[in-house]
Amino acid sequence: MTIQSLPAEQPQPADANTSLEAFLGSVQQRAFMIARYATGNTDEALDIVQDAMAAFVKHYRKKPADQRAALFFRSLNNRIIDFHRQRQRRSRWQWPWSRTEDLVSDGPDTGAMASSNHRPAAIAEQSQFADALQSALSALPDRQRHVFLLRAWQGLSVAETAQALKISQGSIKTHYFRALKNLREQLEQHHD
Amino acid sequence: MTNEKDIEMQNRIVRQLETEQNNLNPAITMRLDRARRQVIVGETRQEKKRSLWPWPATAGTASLALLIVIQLNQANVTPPPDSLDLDLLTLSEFDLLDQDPEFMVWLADQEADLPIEDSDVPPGGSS
Repeated sequence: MTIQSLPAEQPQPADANTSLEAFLGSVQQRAFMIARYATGNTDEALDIVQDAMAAFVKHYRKKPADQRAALFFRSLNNRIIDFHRQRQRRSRWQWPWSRTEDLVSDGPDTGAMASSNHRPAAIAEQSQFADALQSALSALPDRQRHVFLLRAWQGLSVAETAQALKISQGSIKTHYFRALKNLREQLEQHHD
Repeated sequence: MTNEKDIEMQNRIVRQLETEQNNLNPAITMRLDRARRQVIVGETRQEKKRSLWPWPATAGTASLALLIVIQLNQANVTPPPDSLDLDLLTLSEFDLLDQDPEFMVWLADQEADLPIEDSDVPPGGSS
């Protein structure tokens, strides 16, 4: 683990809350997207992120700043696991067509990508890649996707990802490798 | 696919995710901001409650201890003078009729032998 020891000086409560809010502000959107990939539902994802924030503040607010990311994503992961458990219980008593999954209809706002590139062909290609990526990420097993997003996107180290997901560093490496392999296969046709 | 191509693909994925994050629906961002503020405000309130909690607890414990000490002290204290007087009046040795009837008879005789001026009859009024 690369987790550092406690800082010499603890911040004052008001400062601590300000810094905590800044931290949460910096991760909330990624957390939401990770939760949405995991649940396939915007409202569920928002609830999960709020619950994760509350749990993080309740349990880990006094932890050093360099441990915050790993601990926050641990809270998020716990909420996602809870969500899947509840859904599994609910699905035993629910008809399959009554499930409300809206990832496709309420997915990332691909229309806004036009601002980055005005060429129609490039826009079409980017839009196709966005759709393919969404499908590929959604198709990944939960753990592989979570490991990939935390490592590649959030930039957590292997040790931090292991702390966040409460699994061994060896498992993190394995899941990451498999996630890359699956994504490569899914996105190969979009790769230049 | 080589490792370099893997890195390139990964970079492209990350760029795409960043784009999606930056272009997230503003309504969603607003809901996230609101949720974050609620969590922080809730935590600030809880912190204040936690910081105030020791004072009522300490004051309550001290009051209870004081009450117990006062109760114990009162159990050992003799009764106040007022109640002592009342007790004495009801004691049997103060019942003079039972104790000394001869004295009471003498006292009645003495009252009967009183001079006329001490009675209600006016002087010389009987004849």
